[in-house]
Amino acid sequence: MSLKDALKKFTDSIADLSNLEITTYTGKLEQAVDATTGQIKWDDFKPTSGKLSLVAATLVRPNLNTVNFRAAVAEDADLKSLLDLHTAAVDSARTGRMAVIKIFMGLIPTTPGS
Amino acid sequence: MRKIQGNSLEDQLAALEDLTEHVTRARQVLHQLPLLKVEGTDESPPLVLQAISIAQAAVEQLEEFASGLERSYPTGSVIALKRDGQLCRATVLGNPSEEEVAAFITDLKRSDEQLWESAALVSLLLGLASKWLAAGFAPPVVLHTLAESAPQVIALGMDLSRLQARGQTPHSAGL
Repeated sequence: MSLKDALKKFTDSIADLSNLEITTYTGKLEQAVDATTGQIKWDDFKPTSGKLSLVAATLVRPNLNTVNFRAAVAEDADLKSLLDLHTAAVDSARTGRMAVIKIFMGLIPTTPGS
Repeated sequence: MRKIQGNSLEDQLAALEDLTEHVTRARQVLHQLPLLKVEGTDESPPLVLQAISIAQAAVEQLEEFASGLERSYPTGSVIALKRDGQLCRATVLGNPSEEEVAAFITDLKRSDEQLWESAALVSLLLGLASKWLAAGFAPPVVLHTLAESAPQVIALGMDLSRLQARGQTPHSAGL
């Protein structure tokens, strides 16, 4: 991958500075993995799919107002561990967005006339 | 080398992509390059070339971060984090142990730290690319600005290397 492609891929994926939505799902391996390719079927991950359970969801609005959802129970899973994972995913998503902003700070002149 | 018309973000990214080519051309044009030499050594690569290698590594780090993170564990479970625009989805398949979830969180935090260091470096390079565009890629400007920033690029690169070295420490779970 070229330098430009890598940068484009990264910025395109996070450059939409609108809402940030983080969801955490749990389920059985065979429900989410394509038997032919062995790849995770990401498009099946919807709260209504019935295949996976939504453990937690977080919506961070542009003004940083945040809405959280957490399941009361997680079937066959340790809810505390899953919630810890969700918190880490929220932190990671925020870091990604901040990193995009940091990257483009390089375009702002630091001294007048530079 | 592509012809660059304006000074848009696309152009700046293209300028970064052609970094090595710009430097090679600049070195051919300029006969004496004292600002590229490392004092006291003839064998070490010039500072600018070191800086370019470090820059490439930083961009690869960004690519890795953009792809997300997926780990398989000894219990047969899979934990993955996928980024897709404004969506970020974490998935736990199977029944990972508490330690396996903790190991994934550690990997994720490490990846975030590396991203943060990479972002500083890429930001610096994007600023340089902007200057090159403004100067029409004049070889003296390309080399001078790179040489001027090389110590900073190398310092940021060393921070990144330290984080990566820490990431290579074996842990109990994961691939």
